[in-house]
Amino acid sequence: MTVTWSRGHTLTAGLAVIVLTNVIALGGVAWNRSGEPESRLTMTQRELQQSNHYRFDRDGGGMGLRLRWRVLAADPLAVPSAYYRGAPEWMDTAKLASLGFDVSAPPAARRAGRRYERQLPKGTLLVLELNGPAYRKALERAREWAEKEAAKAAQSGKTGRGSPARRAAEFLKKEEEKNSRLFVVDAGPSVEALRAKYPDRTRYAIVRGKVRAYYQNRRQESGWTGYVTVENTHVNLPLEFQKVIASSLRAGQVAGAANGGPALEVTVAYGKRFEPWITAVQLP
Amino acid sequence: MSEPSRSSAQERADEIRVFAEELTRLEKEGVLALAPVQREAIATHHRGLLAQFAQDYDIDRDSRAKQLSLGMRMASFLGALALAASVFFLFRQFWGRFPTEIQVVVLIGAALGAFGATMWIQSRDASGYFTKLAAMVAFACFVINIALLGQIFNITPSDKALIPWAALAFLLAYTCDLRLLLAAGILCIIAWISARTGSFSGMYWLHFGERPENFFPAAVVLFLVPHIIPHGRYTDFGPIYRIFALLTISLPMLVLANWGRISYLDLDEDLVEGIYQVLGFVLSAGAIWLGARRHWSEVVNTGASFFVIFLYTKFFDWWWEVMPKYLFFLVLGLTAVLLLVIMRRLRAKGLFGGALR
Repeated sequence: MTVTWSRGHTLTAGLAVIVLTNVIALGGVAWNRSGEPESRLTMTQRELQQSNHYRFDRDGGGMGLRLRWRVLAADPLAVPSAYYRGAPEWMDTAKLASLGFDVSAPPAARRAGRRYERQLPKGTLLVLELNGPAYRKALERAREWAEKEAAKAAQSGKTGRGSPARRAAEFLKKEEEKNSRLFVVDAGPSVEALRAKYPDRTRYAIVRGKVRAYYQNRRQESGWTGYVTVENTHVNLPLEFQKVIASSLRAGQVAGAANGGPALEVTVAYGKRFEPWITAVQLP
Repeated sequence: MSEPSRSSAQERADEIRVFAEELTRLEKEGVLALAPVQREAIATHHRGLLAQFAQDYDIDRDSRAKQLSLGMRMASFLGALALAASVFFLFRQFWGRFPTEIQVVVLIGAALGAFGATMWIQSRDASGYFTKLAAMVAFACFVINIALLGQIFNITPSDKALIPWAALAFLLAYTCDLRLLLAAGILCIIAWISARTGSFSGMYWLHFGERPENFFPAAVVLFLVPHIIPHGRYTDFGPIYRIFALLTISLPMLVLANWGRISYLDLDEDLVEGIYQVLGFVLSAGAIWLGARRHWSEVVNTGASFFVIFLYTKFFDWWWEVMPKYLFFLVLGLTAVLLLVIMRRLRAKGLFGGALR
């Protein structure tokens, strides 16, 4: 039997493709947001920054917030940074192996090392910690750095603008009042295992991300480490919250810097598919 | 699907014009003398065919019309791109001002409306130029629809979105006889198959481009499509599949022939590069041979282009540093002449299975 393809068939097939795709996409959204959220973090302007999708697009009408996540550096002697996203201190050989990376034999030759390095990133689940032990540790490191530089400055007398002592003191103040307190503290393939380890759903969010393994070939210390990247860091801001945020975020950042307190509180929920959405915006 | 496409109707019309010119020439040279009845019968038949084609497909009846038609195709292509960009930036500028429910309705409505409008325009546009414009906008609306839904609801990016995009692109391409949308659909399929191939090896799908071998399965699939699925009236589509298949396999090979460290092969970097250099030459030469045998001029041209690129890349590696520049370019030029001579001889000996089309 020969079936002749008519314009009617095309119309039906095309409409079916469009409708079905939208139904699947929106069904996934409904599934993600159904029931009690997997986690719910209440963040301030310290953890969220305003973002437009495309910097080159001056006409961009949408508005969103971007998560300012960071990691605690593996090297405690490294100069602290508010935006550090290098090797986290908890990322070691065992962790990489548990994520499925081949860490069986350390490469001897540099050439072999390059081949090991180039293992491609793997998708995994990451744990975001808000205002927890990782932040306190970062604060402690900043304090130690400031004290160390102050002691050096007391001997050398270099305390002017741009001096290490001044920079360390300024960083400590920012770390106390302005820098993000949102840290990636763990990674793993199993949501159950991660949730058992981090049961507080208002402090720890499980999110999607990826990990890239890296072999450090150093003279003194060689070994495996890795970098993490959080997916979905841009969170769309629905219209009902836009006016509140647009007027207060810029002013709020200034106010937050002045008194150290939150100028804005945004509750971000993560659902069954670990996709975020904003559930509340409050001005304290 | 027995009716001819616009391109095959145009091809037939061109053949009729050439036939008429040659017939006149033969009669002038005294080689052939048709009886008036025969000449009139042929002319009547051809007039009827051309009138039918003109009515159904708005074909170009002569070379001047054809030149004008080329300009119209260019205008149609650029207009389609501009309109698609216009739709994108229209959404970008205003959609943030609407509540989420309205955004969703507008996005879905635009995709459905643009598709419906394309079908309506196609039923009234014999030339196909306006249909091409509308189809491009419909495809752009659907891509924007899904991409912006992803942004509104913070959906994790997925390669699965490529499947419905490809489906709609193919549907519009085959319905409206549009090569541009066929290429768009093919690109979606290449990206999807490559991403899936990369995911099988355990990598995060967005990094599939970092292992060029991920593209090889897509190339094989594309090459087989016009053989497995008869394309009948879509005479222009087979070559597009074959060109994309060759590009999808040759470009990654070219990359691997120069950067062996990004290969899946767990071998020495130089050895990997050597393997892909040899494979590149074999593939290019094979493409030239196969294309010549099957009268696929696009395969011959693509194969010859990559053969020369592989050759020149090797020349660059070997001699750029050690040779004076005038000598280096002289060698390149002489190599091109040598290749021409070889191919001419092979053609003369019939090793390509006849003259190239």
